[in-house]
Amino acid sequence: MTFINGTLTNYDLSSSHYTQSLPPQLQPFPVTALDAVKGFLQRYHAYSKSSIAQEALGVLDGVSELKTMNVTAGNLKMRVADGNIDWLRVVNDLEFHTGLSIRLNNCIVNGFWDHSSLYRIGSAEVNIPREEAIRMARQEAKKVTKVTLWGIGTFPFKVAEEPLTVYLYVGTGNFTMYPYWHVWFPADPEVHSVTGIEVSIRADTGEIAYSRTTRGFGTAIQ
Amino acid sequence: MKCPRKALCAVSVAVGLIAATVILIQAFNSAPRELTLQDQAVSFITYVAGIDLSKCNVSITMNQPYEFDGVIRESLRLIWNQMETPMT
Repeated sequence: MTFINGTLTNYDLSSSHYTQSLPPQLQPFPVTALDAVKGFLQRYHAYSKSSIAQEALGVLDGVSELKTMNVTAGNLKMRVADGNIDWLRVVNDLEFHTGLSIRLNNCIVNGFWDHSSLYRIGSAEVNIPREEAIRMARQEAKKVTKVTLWGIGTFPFKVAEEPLTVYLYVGTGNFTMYPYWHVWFPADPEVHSVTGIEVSIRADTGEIAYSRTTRGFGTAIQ
Repeated sequence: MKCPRKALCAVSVAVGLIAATVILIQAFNSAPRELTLQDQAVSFITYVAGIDLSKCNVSITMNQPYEFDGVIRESLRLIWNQMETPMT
């Protein structure tokens, strides 16, 4: 169980830190997955007065069975997949973590996280259009004209004119979330394991968050 | 006439002191007490997670608090040892 600033924010019954798993006799009375989650959130709301728990219950009200699905009520989206349930705040088509997540196993809530009191949306504005982000990223990527591979040598390097992947994502630092553009230019040609350059740009301000080479297996520091 | 006045005074002071003490005790008892992390853990597991801890012996170990992302993080581990069920 984890506490942040004295408040319980997480419990995990499946953690490998436990020397023993929860004996069946101690497990809560079996109910359906939906009832398990609803009951848990109702009790958690009564216990903590967490407003996100109440909102999450509102999304569950429109659901008759828990299965792999995305359900949205207002600007709160519930994403259910592989026994994990996450609640996301949707603003300007961007999905921001609320900090509330539940993991189900055999209709038992065996994992729970509520960092909603810590997470905040720093900005949901996308002021940098896609084409502008690509132009900025290209400018950054073209600064890399050679790569040095340890023990092999230094080689000339350049990227393709057009990016292969461009997408918006929400990045988090110190519990504050911002929209970012991710632009990846493939190397032209690949130099040993160096496959390209990825550039991350704040979509609200245009600030370059990072620009780095990518490798076949992970990311390399140029 | 002086004696009864003194006695009355003393009685008044005594009653005042007793009343003040009672008020102080009540105030102390009704003051909210901070729950320890262990208290929170046990009440959460019992009430929110719905796990009946009375059926087992629970030992709680605290890990060293640390600061990360500007917040203090503390964690504890509950280890449950199921109690022997008496043969009937």
